[in-house]
Amino acid sequence: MMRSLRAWWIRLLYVVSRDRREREFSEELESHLQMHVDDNQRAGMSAVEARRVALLKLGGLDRTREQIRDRSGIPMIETLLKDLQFASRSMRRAPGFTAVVLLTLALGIGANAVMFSVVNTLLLRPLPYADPSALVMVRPATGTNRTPAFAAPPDFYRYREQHRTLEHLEAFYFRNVNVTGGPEPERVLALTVSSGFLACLGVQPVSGRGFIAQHEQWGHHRVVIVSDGLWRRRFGSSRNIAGQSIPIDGQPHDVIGILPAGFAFLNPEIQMVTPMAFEPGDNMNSRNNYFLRMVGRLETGTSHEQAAADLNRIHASIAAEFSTYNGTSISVQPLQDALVGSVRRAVLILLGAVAFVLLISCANLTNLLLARAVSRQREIAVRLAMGATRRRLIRQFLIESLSLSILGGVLGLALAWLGANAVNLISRQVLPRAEDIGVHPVVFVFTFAVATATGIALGLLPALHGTRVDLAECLKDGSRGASDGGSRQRLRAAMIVAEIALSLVLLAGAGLMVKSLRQLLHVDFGFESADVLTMQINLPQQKYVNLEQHRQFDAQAYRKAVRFYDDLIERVRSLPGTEAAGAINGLPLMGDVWAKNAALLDRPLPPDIQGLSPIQYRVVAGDYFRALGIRVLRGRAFNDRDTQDAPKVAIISQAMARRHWPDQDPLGKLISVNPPLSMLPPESFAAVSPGYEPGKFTIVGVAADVRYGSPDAEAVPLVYVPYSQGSEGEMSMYLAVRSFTDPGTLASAIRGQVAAIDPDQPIAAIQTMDARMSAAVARPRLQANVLTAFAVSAILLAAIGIYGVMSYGVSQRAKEIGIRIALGAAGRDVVGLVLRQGLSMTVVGVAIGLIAALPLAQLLRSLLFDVSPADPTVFVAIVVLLLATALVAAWIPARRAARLDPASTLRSD
Amino acid sequence: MTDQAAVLQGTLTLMILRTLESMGPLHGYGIARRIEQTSGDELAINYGTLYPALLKLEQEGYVKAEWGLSDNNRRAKFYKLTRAGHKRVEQEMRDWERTSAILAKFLAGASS
Repeated sequence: MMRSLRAWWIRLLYVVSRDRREREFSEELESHLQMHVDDNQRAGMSAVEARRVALLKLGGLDRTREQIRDRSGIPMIETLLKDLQFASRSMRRAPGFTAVVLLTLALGIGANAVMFSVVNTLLLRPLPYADPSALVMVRPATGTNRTPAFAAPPDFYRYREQHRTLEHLEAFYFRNVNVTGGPEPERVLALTVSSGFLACLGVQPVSGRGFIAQHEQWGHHRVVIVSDGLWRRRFGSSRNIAGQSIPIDGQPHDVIGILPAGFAFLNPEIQMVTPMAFEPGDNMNSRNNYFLRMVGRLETGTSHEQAAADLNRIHASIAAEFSTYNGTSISVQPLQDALVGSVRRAVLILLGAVAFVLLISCANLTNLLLARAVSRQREIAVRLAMGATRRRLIRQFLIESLSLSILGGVLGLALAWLGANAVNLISRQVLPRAEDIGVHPVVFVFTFAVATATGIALGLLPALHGTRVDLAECLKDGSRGASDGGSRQRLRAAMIVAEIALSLVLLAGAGLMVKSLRQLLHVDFGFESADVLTMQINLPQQKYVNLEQHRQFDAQAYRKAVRFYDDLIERVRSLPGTEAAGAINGLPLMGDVWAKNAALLDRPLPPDIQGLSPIQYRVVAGDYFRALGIRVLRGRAFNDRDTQDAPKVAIISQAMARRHWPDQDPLGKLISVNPPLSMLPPESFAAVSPGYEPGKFTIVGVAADVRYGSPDAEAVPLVYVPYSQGSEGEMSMYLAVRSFTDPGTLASAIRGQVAAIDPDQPIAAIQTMDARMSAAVARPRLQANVLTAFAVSAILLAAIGIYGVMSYGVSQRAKEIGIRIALGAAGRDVVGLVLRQGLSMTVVGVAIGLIAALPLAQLLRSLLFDVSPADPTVFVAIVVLLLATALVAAWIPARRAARLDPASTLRSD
Repeated sequence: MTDQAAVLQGTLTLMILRTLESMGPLHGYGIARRIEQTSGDELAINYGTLYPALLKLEQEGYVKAEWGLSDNNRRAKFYKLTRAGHKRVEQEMRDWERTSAILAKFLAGASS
């Protein structure tokens, strides 16, 4: 065994050093012959005779050499090398052809590699945490539509205490904090977590330690684990955290650890992790506030269904105490699915689409190679006649196409590297985990596999067809050597039909997505985005809220904050260029920020909280409605007289008016936005002041509906109240400023006004409303654009394919056409002849494409907005487009055919 | 002749090894002549078939080759048994003797 391995190794080495070894064998045989000749001459033969006998005895010099060669190297590898040499020679001989093929393949394979790297990162690559398959997202689901909701802290503590199926159950929420003490105040994203959170993910701080249970206690909670980036910005590259602290929202926090570089959880911008702790009696820590999300780690051997059953057992025991929980449950989902669930379908569809593009390119290249095989028939016939086997020739063909496809794959990989980096940058706002997108090792494997499969697919048909040659016919003197059989023509036509069918499917997808995007962009969002600048201001509670009064539900607690916003809006309003300025706690298209239950005081109260009307709650300051161009349809907007001490007023949205006062005038009606004491859960009584009574607001206006949620979601009932009257401690507001000029120019003036009031106050998220609009539709726009790009390449490739096949057909039939013209056929007849052929292929392709596209379009349903997957206008438009393209592509060769000079075509041969 | 050749293919390796063992280092031509002589010129082989067999033995490490000078001062490649080659000769000879003894016994029994 060892001996034969050794022999194989030496034979492999021989392949490399073959020239030297060959020379040595020649010398050895020559010396053998010399000795034999010497002996023969000594025995009395003539020199000529001696050599003849010696050669005879050897069994022929060439045969011996052949035998030695077979034994010394590995014949298979050597023929392979020879085939490769041959392939590279024939590539260099036709540089134009080679360049076209390589470029097509590089683009096709590269685009596939890019899409695959996206799929790989989003769907296949495990999350960057320890044993990520055991991580789950735990969410309360409300109502029948089971929309994911948040958990209240008391409930989380109870789940954590009583569960039996999890190694960890942890809670987290995001908040924006102000970090001071550096050269400039900074506003950063903080992840606030229960103490076992990092351990649950298996993330170890690179320096220092993680949180301990004690950090959840109020008073021990002023510790922070900072991101690598924040640490470097603040403290440089030293890793010594001892004694370092950072002021967060005005309070010094001890740095107890540094996160590993690149740490991300749901959001790559996280700058610090802080422990979740509540002051005793804090309203946040009650069943009035649902804001926690939960993540868990399954115990080995438990499924997420078992964990869900376990948590729902606990949830049911809570629901038994609080009737508001009736109809709710807990859902447990693998973390990876929870993170990328929303884009999985879109990404897979795009991967399918790009594979179609590659298939279309392959069909084109197959036709190209088929044509080339025909033109090489003479060469093939000669080789067959000289004894090459058909198998050997097929292998030769395959090796040529494989060398092309693998070279194309290498080029494609280079393109993919550029492409994946571009996607990484472009899609950060759009895709989860986009920051990880890149050419990972598995992408190399994928690309190589695609390239190999492409090479075989490309080479096989031409190889089988090209080597079926009628030797006598081909080698006959004067024969054209390139007769084109009917089967080969059918094959070419089949490729075109397939191309058109595939293009139609892609065009249908792209058409539907584009129409959907147009529908989305033409929706009336209810506001005017042009010339509006927005920015976020988050006042620190410690500075602007009287916490003692705050706990008493006393609106006077926020007097300082109210004064800040009044002051700021007044200053901004007087800046030159400002048309109107206002502020709100959540801008349009930002998603739901504050849900409440409103009591309508013009009718009897329902028995419990569930009977109250769910609303979105917005507190506004200044001329918010004018600044965003929101129409007040009835009554009036808020004005400067709606102060903290004035009678409480509210403006409701049209959707709210329609739902509750369909036939009445809502103006003058009274509502309250907090439940009466009788409906509050008993455990929150302690937190409420003795004289608690929810404020009564008089409706003074009805505003047009505005889409505050996602752009494709209908507006929901909404209540606006003045910030001064209903802020309830909301510290984070968005300033909206309408300007006469380019809104960007106002930014620094506004920044100056903020600093004039409080130099420590940072501002964040400075963006025009237009930018927010396009960010909100960025994902559908990206999907539509990418699919359109694929579809455009598809139709171009199909057009090139039709053109190529028709031109080839015309050149093959030049003689026949020449005869027809000579016999009196008009140019029109010839054009018709060629066009008919092109069109018949197209019609068949369109028919097959339609049959395939209608069911495939259903896959897009969830991605479409206000468009049916079988939208007739889209389908009619793309069929017309395809037919027109095919006509143009066939018309050019048809015209050329009509202009053939019969004399010259008949003479040539 | 054809039968002889068939027998020869299987035993050529053994004959080469045995020749090298008894004669010491020898070139290909020498080995061929020696095999013919010892067989009393009954075996007429194509000398060419010797070389792939020698190459195989060399690749497997049973013989080593070196260029040297022949008796007539011709440059020639000399083959020499390695230690593994010596062992292999012993082994092959034992195997061969056993095989031929069994075969001889069988043939004798079958004829009577």
